[in-house]
Amino acid sequence: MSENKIKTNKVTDFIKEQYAFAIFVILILAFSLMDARFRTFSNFMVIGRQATIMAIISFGATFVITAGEMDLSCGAVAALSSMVVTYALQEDCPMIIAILLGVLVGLICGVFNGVLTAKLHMPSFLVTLGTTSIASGLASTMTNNKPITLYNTTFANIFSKGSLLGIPVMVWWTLLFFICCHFVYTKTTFGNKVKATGGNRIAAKYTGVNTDKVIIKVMAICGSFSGVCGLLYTARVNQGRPDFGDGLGLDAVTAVILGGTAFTGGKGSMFTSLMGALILATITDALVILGVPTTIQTLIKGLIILVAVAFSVSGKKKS
Amino acid sequence: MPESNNNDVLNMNGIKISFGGVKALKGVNFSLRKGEVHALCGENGAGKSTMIKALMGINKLDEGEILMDGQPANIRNPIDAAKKGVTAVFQDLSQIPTLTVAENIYLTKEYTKGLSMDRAKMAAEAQKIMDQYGIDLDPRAEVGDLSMAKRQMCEITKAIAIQPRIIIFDEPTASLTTVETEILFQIIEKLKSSGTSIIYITHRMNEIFRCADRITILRDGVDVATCPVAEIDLEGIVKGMVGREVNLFNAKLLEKKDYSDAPVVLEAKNLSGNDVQHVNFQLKQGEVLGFAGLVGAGRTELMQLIFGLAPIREGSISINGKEYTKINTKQAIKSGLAMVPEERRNQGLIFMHDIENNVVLPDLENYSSRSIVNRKKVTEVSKRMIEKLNIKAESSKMIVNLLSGGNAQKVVLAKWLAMNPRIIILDEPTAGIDVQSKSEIHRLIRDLAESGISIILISSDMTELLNNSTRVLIMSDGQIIGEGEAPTQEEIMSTILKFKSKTKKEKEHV
Repeated sequence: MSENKIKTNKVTDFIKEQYAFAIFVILILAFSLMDARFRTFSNFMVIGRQATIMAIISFGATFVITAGEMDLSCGAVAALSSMVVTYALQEDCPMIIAILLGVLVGLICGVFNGVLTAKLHMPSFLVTLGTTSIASGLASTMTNNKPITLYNTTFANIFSKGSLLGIPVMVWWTLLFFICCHFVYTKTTFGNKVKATGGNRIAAKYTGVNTDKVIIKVMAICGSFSGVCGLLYTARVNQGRPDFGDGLGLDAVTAVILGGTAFTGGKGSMFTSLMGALILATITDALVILGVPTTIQTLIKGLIILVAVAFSVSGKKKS
Repeated sequence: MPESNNNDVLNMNGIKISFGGVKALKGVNFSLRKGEVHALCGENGAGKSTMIKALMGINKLDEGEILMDGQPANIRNPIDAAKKGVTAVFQDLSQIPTLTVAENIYLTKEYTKGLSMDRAKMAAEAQKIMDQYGIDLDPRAEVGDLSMAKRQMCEITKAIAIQPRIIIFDEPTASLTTVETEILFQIIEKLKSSGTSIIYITHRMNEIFRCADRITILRDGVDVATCPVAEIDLEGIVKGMVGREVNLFNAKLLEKKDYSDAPVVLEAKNLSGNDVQHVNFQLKQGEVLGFAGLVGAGRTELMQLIFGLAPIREGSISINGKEYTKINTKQAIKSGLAMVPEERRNQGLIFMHDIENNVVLPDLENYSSRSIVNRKKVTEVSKRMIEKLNIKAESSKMIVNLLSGGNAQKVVLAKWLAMNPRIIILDEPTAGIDVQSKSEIHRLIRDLAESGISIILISSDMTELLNNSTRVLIMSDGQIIGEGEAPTQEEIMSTILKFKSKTKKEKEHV
C-alpha cells in the first residue's frame, strides 16, 4: 500500500520534470526536420558548448531562486572575473592563481550580495542590480573599456578549446557542475535548508534553520559560478571583455523559470534548469543556422520563450 | 501571588510585557504541572499569544520571571525553547509547503548517510511516531499537497517528534475534522500519561471540558482566574473572559416562519463542477440555510461555483429568477450576492489597507464620479458601518492588520453589507473569533434574516450552525445527502457516516 504511494509519487514527479525535457526534444526534432545542417553531431556539440555558460549560471540561480531570492548580477560579475583572470595571465601570474583569482572575484561579489540581502534586509533584486553596475563599472575601468587579449593556450584548452573522449571540455564542465549541484540540491541537508528558506522563511527560522546564512551561501555559490563562467568565456573568445555578460543574468533567470523552478521559491530542479539553458541555446543556434537576421532573431526568441513558458505552466497545472 | 509546587515544571511569575507603551501583559502568573493539560482562555487581545510568545522566547519580558523546574529558564528564541523541551503547535501553520512530511518533521535534525540525507530512515522514523500516536499521514507526501487538516496533523507530529516536556497547542482543532479532533484528544491522552505537560489554547469551550485538567482565564493582560476544570462551568468561563454576564443561550433564536410562500431567491439545478456533483437546492427570502458537513465535504466548493469563482460544468443557477449556466463574480455581485469567504487573511481582506479602502472596494464605482473616488462619501459610509457592526477601531483609517480577528471579520461583513446585498454567503464566519464578536455576528445574522435578506451559512461549529439556521442541508463528497428543519447534531453525524460507509463499500465493489 505505502509502496504504491511512493511509486506514484515518483512517476508524477518524473512527468513534471518531463515538461521542460519534452519542449527541448520537440525543438530538436522540429529544427532537425527543417534543416539538415542542424541534425549533425558537431552542431549538437555547438549547442552543448553554447549552453555551458548559461547552464552553470542557471544552476547557481536555481539555488538563489529556490531560497526565495534573485541574482541579476551574474553577467556583470562574470565579465569582471573575465577581466581579472585575463589581466592576471597577461601579467605572467601562475595559471592556478589566476584561476583562483577569477573565482574569488565571483565569490566576493556573491558574499557581498548575500550579506546586504540577509543582514541589512535589502531586497536582493535591488542589491544585485547595484552590484551589476559596480562590477561592470570596475570591469570597464580596469582597461579603460578595452578588451584584453589572452595568449595562454593551456588555459584556453582547459576551459574551452580542448576535448576529452571526442566531447568538448565545455560539455564536460556542464556535466560536472550539473552532477555536483544536483547532488547538493536533492540529497543534502543544505539542499533542504535552501528549500525551507524559500518555502516558508519564518517557519524555517523557528525550526532552527539559520536563514541568513543560507541566503549568504546561495548568493556566494551563484557568485562563484559566475566567476567560473568568466573563465569559460575568456577561454572561448581568447579575450577578457568588460561588456561580456550583458543580459546574461536575466537569461539565466529565464532558463531557470522556463525549466519549471518555482518563481516564488521553495522548490525546483537542476535538471529542468539544465533543460531551460539547453532550450535557449538550441533556439539561438537554430536561428543562426536558418539564417534569420539578428534583429529578427531576438524577436523570434522572445516568442518561442513565451510559448515554452505557457507550455510548462499549463503542464504543471494539469499534474 | 506566585506560588510554587514541587510538581510544577513551569512557573511564569509576574510577567509584564508592553509594546510601545501598550501594556499587553500586566503581571501574569501561570503554573504548569507535570503531566497536566492546562487550558488557557481569553478573548482575542487578552494576552494569550503574547504570553505564549514570551515562553517561546519571541517576546522579551519587561518584568517577571519564567522558571522551569524552579530554575530560571532563560529561553532566548524558539530554537532554544525546543532544546529546553518547550515546543508549540501554532495556529498559522509553520511548515515548509515544498518539503515532504518527513522532511518537515526532521528539518535541521535530518538523519544522514555520508554526505547525503537518509530519506528512507527519516520516513521510517516519522512513520513510527505516527503509528505510535495513530496519525494517518504519508511521510513522503509533499506538505503543500495536503489538506489543512493533514497539515495540522503534520505540525503536531513535528512537535511530538522532539519528545518535548511542554507542548503548547494554539487552537489546534480550528482546521481539523471531527475524526482528526478525536485523534488529537487521544494523542493528548498519550502525551499526558508519558508525563508531558500541555498548554491548550482554544475558543471551543467543549474541548476544555473534554480534555483539560485546569484552566487559566486571561482578561486584559491579567490572569483573572485559575482553577480545576471540574470546578467551573461554561457560564463561569465566559463571565471570566468577558468580565460580565453574557447571555449566550437565552439569546433570542431566529423566529422560524413558514417559508413555503416566500419567493425563491436562489436556486441550484443539477449543479456540477469544482468537485461538486448534481446539487439541487432552493433558498427562499429571509431564510438562513445552513450547510452541515465535515471539512472537505464540498461546501466551500459549492459556494465558489455559485459566486463565479469556479466554472460550472453542468446544470445552472438562478438568482431572483434569472438563470445562469455560466456566471462570473461580477455578475453574481450585481445580482445581489455577497460572500464572506473562509480564509479571512487570504480571501477576505487586503490586510495592509485601512478599513475604508476595504469597505468600499467591491463597489468602488458607486463611490466615485468619472473614476475619481469621493473620499468624503467613503469615510461617511465606513464610519456608519463601524458603528453599525460595533467594530473596535481607532478610526476608519486604521490598518486592518492591526485589528483583532473578530473585528477584522466584522470589516469583511461591513464590506459586503455596504452594498446592500440580497443574498449573503457566510463561510465559517466565526472561526477563530472571540466569544463577544461571535455572539454579535450571530445577532447580526438574525437581524439580517428578519430584514428579508437570505443567508447561506457554512460552519464547522455544529452548535452555531444549528442555532442560527432555519433549515439545514447536509453535504458529503460534493453532494447534498440530507435535509432537515431542525436536525440534531447526532442525526447529522449519523447521516454523514452512513453515507460515507455506503460510498466506501461501493468503491470497494468497483
